[in-house]
Amino acid sequence: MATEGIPAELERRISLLENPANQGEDFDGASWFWLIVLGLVLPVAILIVGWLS
Amino acid sequence: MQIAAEADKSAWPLLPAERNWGSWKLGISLATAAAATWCYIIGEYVGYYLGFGKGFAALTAGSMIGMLIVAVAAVPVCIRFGVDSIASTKPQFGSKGWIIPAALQQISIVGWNSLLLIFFAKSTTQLLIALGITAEGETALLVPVTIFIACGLVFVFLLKGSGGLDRIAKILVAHVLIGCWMLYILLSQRWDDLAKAVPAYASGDPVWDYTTGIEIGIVSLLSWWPYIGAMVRMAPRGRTAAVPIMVGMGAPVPLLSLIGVAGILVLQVSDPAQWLRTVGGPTYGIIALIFVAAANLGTAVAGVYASAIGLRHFPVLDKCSWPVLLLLTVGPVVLVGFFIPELFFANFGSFLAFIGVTFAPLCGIQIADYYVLRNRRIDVRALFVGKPGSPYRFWGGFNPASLIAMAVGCGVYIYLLNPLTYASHEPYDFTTASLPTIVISGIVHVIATKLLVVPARKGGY
Repeated sequence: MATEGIPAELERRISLLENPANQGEDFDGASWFWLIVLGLVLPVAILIVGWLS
Repeated sequence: MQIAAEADKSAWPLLPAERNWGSWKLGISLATAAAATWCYIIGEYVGYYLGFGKGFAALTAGSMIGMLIVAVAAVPVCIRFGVDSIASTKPQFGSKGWIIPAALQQISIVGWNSLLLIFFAKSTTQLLIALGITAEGETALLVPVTIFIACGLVFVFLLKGSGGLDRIAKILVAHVLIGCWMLYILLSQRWDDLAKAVPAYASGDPVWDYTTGIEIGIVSLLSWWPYIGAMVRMAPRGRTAAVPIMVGMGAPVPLLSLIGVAGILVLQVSDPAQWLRTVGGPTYGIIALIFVAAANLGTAVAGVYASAIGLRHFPVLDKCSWPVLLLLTVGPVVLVGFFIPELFFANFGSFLAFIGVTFAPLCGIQIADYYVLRNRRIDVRALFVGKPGSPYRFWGGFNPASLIAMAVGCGVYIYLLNPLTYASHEPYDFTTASLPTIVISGIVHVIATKLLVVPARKGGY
């Protein structure tokens, strides 16, 4: 990565990505649902069952 | 097309047209990266403290929690701008301070790759001895030579960038199924022994043992931080990435780690190439070795790719040719394999603790910065242009707030769980070491930013 006089191709990419329409999409509501279920709810349930077993 | 083909060999942000991995492709690539023989060693460490049932529960829960932390910390920036994990740290660490996470990434990936390839070489040696092809005292050169050949294969696979990663993942993901078969063999033939097995190093305090199993799961999955950015940047939507990340990268680890837990509890060895030979003879041993080779090569390919992309951020390596960059990434693994394979292999526990000490605060800082301080606003230009006056320049390219938070986080982790002795302090038994470290690092980062950085009008907050 150059700090000054950045390459033309990198400049082109940055300019395009400064437009939100060209950016990827962050996690949305459905993503958060699955993240919470798989990363929080499920582990807590497994921990309780595992401890009681 | 040429520019697009070269973009995935650079750290430059990828454009929408270049980011064509859907859910399945991403999930398979992540599963191939995650499922390797490190799972057996992770399982072995859990099996020291917990029996099979509790070990499975603690490891599964810890792994999924760890995966969630990594996903929330690094993925949003990577997926929005098509960048790798290192670029995602620039808003917190600064236009020069990213060198700290970059160094952690290199140490982590070189460490894991060395471990995997040494494991593969040792399995090969054991099998050749068992088959009578070589004798016990004639294996001195076998480990380094095997590692050298494996590194050569990784180099060849990656000459075409992420395309090589994708192709190898499609083939090698089949090893996950072989892993399930191996687990079935052990469970079906040794279930009674497994049910009665007593963990060798159980502390006598069931809460401490259970928490340590969870901690090992969390820390193991924090190791995916360096890997994940280079792969999720190929997918353009968080919605299609969330489940593949959690299931593809999070779930295979506890599943395959069960092989290690079961192996160490019943046969006192976690390497399936050894215990499958014990259980089913040389044929099973050969199948296990093929599995070990496939699993470790896939992960090593993903690791070297992520590591090479990370190196691209160094100005001196930005214009370096791709093959030279790959050699620089693979080279340290070859050196470890040649000179200190036994020393490295014997200190896996300390290496795992190093991951927790460093990546837990890093994740806490990223989460606090992105969601609390920036409200998800990232300046993509500042990720790549770090000249004086740019938002992520801070002071000379370094952000004191994240440095303070990182230092405090490391201190908190070491206080809660000594990475070398595994001696712990309250409230470790009820909180693990990673989770409080993540929370406290995040809080310190927020406070330090509001006290130091925001008043100075730096950081683009």
